Amino acid sequence: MTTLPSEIFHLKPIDTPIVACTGGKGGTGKTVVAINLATQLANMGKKVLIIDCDVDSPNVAILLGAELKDKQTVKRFLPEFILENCTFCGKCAEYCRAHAILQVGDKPPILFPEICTGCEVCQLVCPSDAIIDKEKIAGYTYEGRNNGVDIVSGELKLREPESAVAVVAARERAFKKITENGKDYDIVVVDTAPGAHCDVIRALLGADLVLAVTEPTPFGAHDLDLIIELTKNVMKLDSKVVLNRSDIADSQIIELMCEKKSVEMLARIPYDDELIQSYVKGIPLVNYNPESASGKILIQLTEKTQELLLKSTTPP
Amino acid sequence: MKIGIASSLPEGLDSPVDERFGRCFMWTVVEVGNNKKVTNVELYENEARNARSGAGIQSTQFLAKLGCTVAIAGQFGPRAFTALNSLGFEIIQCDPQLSVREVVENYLSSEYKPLEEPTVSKKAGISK
Repeated sequence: MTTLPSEIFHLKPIDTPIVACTGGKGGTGKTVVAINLATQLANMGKKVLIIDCDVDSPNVAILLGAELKDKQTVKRFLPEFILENCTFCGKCAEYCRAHAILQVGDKPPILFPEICTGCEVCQLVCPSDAIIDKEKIAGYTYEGRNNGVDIVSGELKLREPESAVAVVAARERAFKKITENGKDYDIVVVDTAPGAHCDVIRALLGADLVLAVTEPTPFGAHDLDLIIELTKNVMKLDSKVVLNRSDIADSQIIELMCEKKSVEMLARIPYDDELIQSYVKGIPLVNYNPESASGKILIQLTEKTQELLLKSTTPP
Repeated sequence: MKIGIASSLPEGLDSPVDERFGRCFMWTVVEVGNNKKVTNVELYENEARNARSGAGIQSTQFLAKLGCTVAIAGQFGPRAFTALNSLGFEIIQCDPQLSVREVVENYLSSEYKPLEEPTVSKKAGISK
């Protein structure tokens, strides 16, 4: 097996520093950390753009109390067969990893569109230009703004098999805002989906700093192990841990995992009713109650994040 | 005539029939001559067994390439059914307690009526 050079994970089309919130396990507070980070950076006078790359359940706008506008469609590949060009060679069916194409003998290929992932391999292997792109709507992107933070959000259509296409579209729209519209941002915050799959990898590309948000449970520790393996060891991205609900159980399980993976724990956010209240009201805690126990930690975390980003993006 | 039978053991005519079509363990392909006598038996691994999706479609493709025109299993999912149907297969549902030998005999004595619709929902074979 060949190993991918880690540089391909570091490419980004903008110079603006990117911090990504991820974590492996679902429900650890990735989005809560991301929106508080973005809001506090804005409070500190920074121009902030947040990209919601959790396209299966995008919640950034809800937690920022923002309305999403300017809906654009995300299209993806869907094969259509041009039968006069088809030589019935069967390559499209043979190479289709989803087994969405049936082709036997001199019968025309039959597509099962509901399981087609849009990978385009059929078009690639077709020797006779018999496959064109019929295009299919796979999702949407939106823009919004609140609490001094600009938002670009991706959304995958229900039952679409591949999330990454909407993640890529959301990032492209966000980066286009920066490169083409001349909008100057100081920091980009990315919120990823849970897991460590293609959609998360796409969301993390080019991140100058990764915050892996976790919780003190065996489930949290297990998934932290996986996500740090991905971000630190495979993608070679600067990775730190944020322990949320740090006092609901013995945090040793996460401390040991940080030791095992040689990663620093950047913050411990205690369980806090004020955080729940801010969450329910759709106001980031750093604005709702900055003096609360977890509000103070989130403000400190933002300052540390800014320092780390400054270090990583300033040439020595 | 070639018959593709979903089978749960690599034991040829003595193998039990597999309940699942697309995700069966093995294929027993039985060739029958004009005199309704079995002339050849071949065994194949089912490479579609662990496919993430489209196991029924891949299985159909496999049997069709071998020249089968009849497919026999305990259950057929909706995509397998559509795929087999579109290629003009005779689709036969049978009791998976029976052996391949018994099922072929029953088929040749016209005991089965070809299926007209799928018997289980999508992905039903995955959890079995």
